[in-house]
Amino acid sequence: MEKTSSKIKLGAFVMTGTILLIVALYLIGTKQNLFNKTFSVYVRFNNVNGLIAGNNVRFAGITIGTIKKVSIENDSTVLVQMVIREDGIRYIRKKSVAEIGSDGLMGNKLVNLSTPDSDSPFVQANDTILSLSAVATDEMMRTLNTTNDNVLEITSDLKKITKRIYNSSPMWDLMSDSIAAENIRRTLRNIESATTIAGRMTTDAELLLSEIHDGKGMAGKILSDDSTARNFEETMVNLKAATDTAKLALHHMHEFMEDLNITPGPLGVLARDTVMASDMKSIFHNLDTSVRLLNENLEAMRGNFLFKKYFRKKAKEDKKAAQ
Amino acid sequence: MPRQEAKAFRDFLLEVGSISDFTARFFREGFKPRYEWSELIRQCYVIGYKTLPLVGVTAFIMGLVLTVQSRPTLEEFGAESYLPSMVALSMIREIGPVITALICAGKIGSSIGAELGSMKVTEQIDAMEVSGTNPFKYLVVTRVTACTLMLPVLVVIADCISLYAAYIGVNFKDVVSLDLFFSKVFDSLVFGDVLPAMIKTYFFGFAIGIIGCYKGYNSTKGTEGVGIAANSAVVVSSLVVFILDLIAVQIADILGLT
Repeated sequence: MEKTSSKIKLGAFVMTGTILLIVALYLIGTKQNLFNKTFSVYVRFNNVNGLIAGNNVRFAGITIGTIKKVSIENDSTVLVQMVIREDGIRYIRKKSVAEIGSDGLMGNKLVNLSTPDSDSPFVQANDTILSLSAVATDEMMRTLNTTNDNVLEITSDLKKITKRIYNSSPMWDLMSDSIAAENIRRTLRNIESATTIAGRMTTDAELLLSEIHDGKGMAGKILSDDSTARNFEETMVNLKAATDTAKLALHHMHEFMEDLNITPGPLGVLARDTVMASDMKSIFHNLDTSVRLLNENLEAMRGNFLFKKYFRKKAKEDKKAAQ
Repeated sequence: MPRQEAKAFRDFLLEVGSISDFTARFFREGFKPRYEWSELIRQCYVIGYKTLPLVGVTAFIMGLVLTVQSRPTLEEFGAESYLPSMVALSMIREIGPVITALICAGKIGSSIGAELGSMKVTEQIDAMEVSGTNPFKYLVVTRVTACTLMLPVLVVIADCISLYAAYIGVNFKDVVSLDLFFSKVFDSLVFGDVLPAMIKTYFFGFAIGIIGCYKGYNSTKGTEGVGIAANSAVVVSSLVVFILDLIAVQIADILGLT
């Protein structure tokens, strides 16, 4: 009886151990999709960042498969074979994109699938889908390191600036000076108004340019009107002709002057003889004096009763002619 | 080389040679009929079932302690959610098999060494030979086989108990359902974690059984020899468990199972 009881206990013990082992192996196998219908889908990466067989494949955050194989295809490409469950394959399309991520900051690597184009056909077994380059932690750390260096430099500069400001007595005087503050405020107001004016000027300039562009105004017409250009061209031609004519006239003048110098005529003598010129000047002076005296005599005649009637009659006729 | 060290080295080689011969004899006798089924089952009951309470309590404590002790370190990284995975991997890959094997080395190894040693010094083994019973087949083969078969079962049950203890440990400070806990446990496990651990437990069991039997079967010097046999069975089998574990890890690493 005791022997039978021992055997039953032993049987229960062995069965418990065996069942637990089988259940554990079944659960592990289920997690690795050994007992489900699965499809293989391939993806190529330049760098898998430590992705290994057994890592999960997720779609919209849900695990739909596992990585079966990771193999180097050539010197720049790694081929990853994903095993997707039947219930997950119907959401994956040919234009789905695979990206390597990680399960938390320190977690296992995994492949995240997303579908940017929902119009493309569904993926079939052994299809290859597109991939996105993973953001490597090392690269992130390198960038962060550079950023840290920059921040360090900036804070160091800031520290120097702050120290200078702190040690600068003029700065503190300026900061405590209420008049200076009022001046600064006024200056700022002026700057503001100047800015407003500048803005207005800019608007006006823009308007002016726009009008010029549209051919409005004199400048616009000059710049945009074809006829003006033609007129300008004609003017230039005329100017050229005038210049030629003037050049010819000058030439003739030059010849004339040469003749004047060479030929012993009265004009040449008049031009070169200084004594005669002085006499001529005296003659003109005397003539001027005579004319003035004659004018005075004529004025005196006007006042004379003998000629008074004549001048009155002439004035009346002039007035009538003017009316 | 000094004479004393040379003698010690010679004794060591002699011991290794004797154990190897003893092991070879086990295989010779083990596959030869007639098989001692009833004694094998009795030994399985004694070695397996009777050791379960001790192994179970140890595994429960180990699972609980490991969880509670690991939590602060993981908390520093904000990775408490990895506690089930970490405990599962630790227990199933290493701690479960090794602790169970050490408990068995202490309990079973000493018990076999003392039992066979006392039978040897009281000449019961000789009496069995005289009566026509093959003492090696009856005493050694059954015990070693029972040890080899029962240790993996003990390890599986110990792993499960320790995982349940880890679940209790996680719930000391968190609220995690049993379903979520075991989902996280099996998410982190692959066959490469379970199978090498299971295979090495067969070798642990075999080593504990064969060393216990060898020490007891070859004990001398009367009652004093029984104590020596029991003691050396525990010490040597514990040491061999660690050596086998080291070899198993290296083989698993070479095969890419780590």
